[in-house]
Amino acid sequence: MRRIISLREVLEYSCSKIGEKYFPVIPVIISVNNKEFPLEALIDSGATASIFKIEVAESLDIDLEKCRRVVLRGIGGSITAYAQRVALKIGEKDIDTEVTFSKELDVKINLLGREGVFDSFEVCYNDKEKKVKLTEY
Amino acid sequence: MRVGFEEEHKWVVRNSKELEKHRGEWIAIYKDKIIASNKNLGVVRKTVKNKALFFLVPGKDEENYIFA
Repeated sequence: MRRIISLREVLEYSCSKIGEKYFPVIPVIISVNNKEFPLEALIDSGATASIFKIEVAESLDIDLEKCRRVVLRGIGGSITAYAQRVALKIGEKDIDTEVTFSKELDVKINLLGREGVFDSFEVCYNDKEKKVKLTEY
Repeated sequence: MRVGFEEEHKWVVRNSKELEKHRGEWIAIYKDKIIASNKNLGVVRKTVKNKALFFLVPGKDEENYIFA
C-alpha cells in the first residue's frame, strides 16, 4: 500500500463501500495535548477546512472555550465550529495544521478538507478503481 | 506506535456487510475485527484499551449527501 518514489511518499487507499455507495475514507491520526485519536475520515476536496464531530475534540481533551470560533458555510447553510491547531499524521507524514470541530455537523462523517491535506499531498481520486492516491509534494 | 493503520483500513474496505450493521455508530477496529461499537463515542472509548482505529460509519442519510 505504501511506497516511496523519489523520496516522496505515495499512499494508495481503496474506498469503503457502505450500502451501494463508495466513500473515499483514509486513516488519519489527530494529535494534540499529548493525546492522539486515530480515525477514518472522508477526503473532501470541496471543503476548505477539515471538520470533525465535537466528540472527537472531547476525546482529545480540547478546551473549546480556548478555541477560535469560526463560521463554516456550505450549500446547506452555515455552522459554528471551533478551530484548533493539531498534528495530523497521514502515512508517515506529520502535518501541523488547523482543523475544526463542530457539534452542528449534522452528518455522521468526519471530513478532511483541503487545508493541511491537499497542500501536503497531491490527491487523486480514481472513481473507476474506487481508489484515492496521495502523493507527497 | 503503529503508523498507518493499514490493516484496520483494509478491514473497513473489505467488510461492507459488517459496516452496514453499524450505520450511524462509532466503531473501533483493531487489526482485523471490530472490538467495540456504539452511537456514543465515549462508550466506545471506555471499552477500548488497544490502539484501535475509530470510524463513524455513515448513516443512510449520508449516502447522497453533498459534503461541501
